Amino acid sequence: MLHDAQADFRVLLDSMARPGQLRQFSAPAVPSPAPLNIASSIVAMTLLDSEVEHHATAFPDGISRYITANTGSPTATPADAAFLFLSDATHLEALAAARTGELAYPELGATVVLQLEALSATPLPNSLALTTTGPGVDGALTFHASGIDSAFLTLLANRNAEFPLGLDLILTAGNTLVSIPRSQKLSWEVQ
Amino acid sequence: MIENTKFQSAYNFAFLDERTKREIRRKILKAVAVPGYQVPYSSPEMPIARGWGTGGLHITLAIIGREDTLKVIDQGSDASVNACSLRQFIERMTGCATTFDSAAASLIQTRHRIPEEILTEQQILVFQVPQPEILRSVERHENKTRLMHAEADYSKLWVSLYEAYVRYGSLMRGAGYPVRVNGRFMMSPSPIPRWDVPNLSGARCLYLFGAGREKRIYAVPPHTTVEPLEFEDVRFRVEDWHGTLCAYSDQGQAFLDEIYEEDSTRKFVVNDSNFLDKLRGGPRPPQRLFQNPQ
Amino acid sequence: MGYVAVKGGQEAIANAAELVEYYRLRAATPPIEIEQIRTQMRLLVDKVMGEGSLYAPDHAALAIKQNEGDVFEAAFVLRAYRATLNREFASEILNTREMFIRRRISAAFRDIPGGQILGPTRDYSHRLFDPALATETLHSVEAFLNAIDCKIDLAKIAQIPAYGKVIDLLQAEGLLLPRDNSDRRVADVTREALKFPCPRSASLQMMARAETGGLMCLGYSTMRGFAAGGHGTVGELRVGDVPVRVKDPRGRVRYLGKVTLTECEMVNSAKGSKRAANVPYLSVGYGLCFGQNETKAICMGMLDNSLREPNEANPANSQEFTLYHTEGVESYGFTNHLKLPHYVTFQSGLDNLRESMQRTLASYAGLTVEPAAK
Repeated sequence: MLHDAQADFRVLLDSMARPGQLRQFSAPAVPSPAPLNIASSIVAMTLLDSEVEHHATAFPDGISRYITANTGSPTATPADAAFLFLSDATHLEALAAARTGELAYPELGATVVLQLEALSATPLPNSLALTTTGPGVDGALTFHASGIDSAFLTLLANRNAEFPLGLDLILTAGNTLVSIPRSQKLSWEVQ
Repeated sequence: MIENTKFQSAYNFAFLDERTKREIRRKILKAVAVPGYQVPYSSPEMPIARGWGTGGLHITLAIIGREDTLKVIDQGSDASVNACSLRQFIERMTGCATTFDSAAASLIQTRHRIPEEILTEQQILVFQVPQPEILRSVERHENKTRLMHAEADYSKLWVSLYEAYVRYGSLMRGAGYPVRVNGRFMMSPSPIPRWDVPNLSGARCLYLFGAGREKRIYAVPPHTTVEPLEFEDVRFRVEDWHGTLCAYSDQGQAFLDEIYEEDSTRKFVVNDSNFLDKLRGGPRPPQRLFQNPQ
Repeated sequence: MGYVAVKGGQEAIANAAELVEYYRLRAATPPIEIEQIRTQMRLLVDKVMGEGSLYAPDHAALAIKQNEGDVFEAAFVLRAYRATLNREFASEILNTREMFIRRRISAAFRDIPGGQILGPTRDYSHRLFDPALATETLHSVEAFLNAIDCKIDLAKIAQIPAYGKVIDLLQAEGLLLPRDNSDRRVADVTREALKFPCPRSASLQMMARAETGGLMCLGYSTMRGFAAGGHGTVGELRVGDVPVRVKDPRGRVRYLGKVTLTECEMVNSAKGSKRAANVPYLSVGYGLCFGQNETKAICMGMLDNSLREPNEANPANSQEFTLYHTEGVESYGFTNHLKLPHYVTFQSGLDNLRESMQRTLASYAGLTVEPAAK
């Protein structure tokens, strides 16, 4: 378990340091309870404990109880949580409420873990092509995501407009993840 | 026979308890998300002294795994006594492999140097930082420097550079040259020489900085713009040995140590111990070199 | 070549460790037992526990032995050990009104309810050598103890009450500055970095762990006019044993044992406070530390007062100055890190210096120095 947590963290660190690149967690020792996908579950197990509060927006209650039981992380409102687990991209109220930190302490901005249908380096049907630029990206990088829309991304851009305030986004699908920290500029087009 | 077990302790893998590791890991991710910004963290006491690399050690121990290959350098050298001490400690607490080869390491902990050899996507360089606050020389109070960073108000730093220029005809900043990261945060690159500063910008590897005593973690992700402060007419310059060659390898284009012999004559030797070994034993490893402006 | 050099470094470390052990033992005198240090170096153990931030007398004694009496190192070993311990519980708030008093004095009043109890102190001893100690034997120790035992009346000990506090008298009369008591959050300075201004709980924790000499330096500075706060009065200083209790997972309060503490309430005039702009209230500065360490508790009390009148111009009125610079393990480590090689940093500075010197000298009548690296 201890060594899994270390390996999983290194995947997360690599992902956060290289926005837009797809990364995979290796299969967990314990399966995640549906509808929480593997990657979202691993993010929770790797980073949460009783010192940080989470909110599992729109997941069934059982998911939040599962997270608390396995990590000790208490629940909080979207405005107070350090970690928000979003079941899909329709939860704009949670994204609008999530804390973006203080100018003197921007690290207080929340980490948002958004679960998607699919993530891919190559085009997907009914998806968005997202292009990210910023620290960690050599020039620009495009990846493909289905289950995310313009409304979500526009609101995210809005919330990240006053860098260093902002939200750090981790997109997950199955055991795949892509990180979009607040330092990134995102553009997208429908495919 | 009765054994006295009262004072015996068993330590967790990588010494730190899992809770502390998790806290440091959360802070590292935030540091990466806001490049150049100093994230406060718990910084528990370690069995080595404050100022001797505790911050670097916290980061290394929070991220290291059994599969890692570790290199530890101090002042560019694998042989420095403190580098040996830290390497032994980490090795003992993790059982990981160690190396002196800059190219073979997956994780390098360093004090005051970036290896000459180009680091790759597969590598993380962890800096030990004595004073993370680049503004400390112009503003002693933490709440005020925080405010200056919050408002991106760096006028005091610019003024101090300008005053040095007026007085001495140069910016007079030696090691720990102030840099601006991603066009936003001013950052101390830790006391690396100016020679290493250009290698912070647009690198392939991840740079993590740990200041244990001051309880701060910060980061420069790969492919991030890092600019040394300079004026249009007074440019940043790296150290210049005016074509002097290393006494052991007959080569230049590397940071040189000035060494005094018994009879007080001096010679210059390549500082990076592994780079020197490679220069003496085979082809010159790939380097990024900065040209001083004319 | 690289390998040989590294091996040299590792050998040097091993040799240094062996040598320092040799210096500890080379006179071949009988080893000091941990119990002897714990009992006969009581005040040293107390100081190390306080600065080491861990109430563990045996561990403190071992740390003292292992470091040949170096208090900085001993406290450091305790701190490093403490950082590896799991914390299962937080204690209930200690009630020092329950203290089994060994010593208790007030400088504010001639007589106090319960009386002044001088207790074990060298305050009024004349600082002259006691040559008898040079030839002390177990026999003389036993004779002394037997004589003391004859004087002890166990029945009287059983009747010793818990004593009320001197500040209760001041409180009852309404002389104390009403304080905003809304900040009930207990910070944990071992889990999060200080943020300034920091809550009083963080400030008191830092001082309870601080290095005694450092606290004394700044506490003393308040009395010599280098800070607002001035010459306070010891409202009460008490030393004794206080019960420690924790709540178990079922919510039942459990008694764990007793710790020896020194507690000091320093009374000062509270002028300068917004709430007391026109009323000359008194203010209480609080000091508390492990064991018997009265200097530390008094200085902490003085500084608790002075830190409530922020003024960055004075070290003892500045939280940042006081709390950072009295932190023993940090200041000790960093001052000693100067022994590490700094030749890369120095070279980088030399490069600047030589170039600038040449430029400057050249501007004076063509003077030159030898080029830097030819």
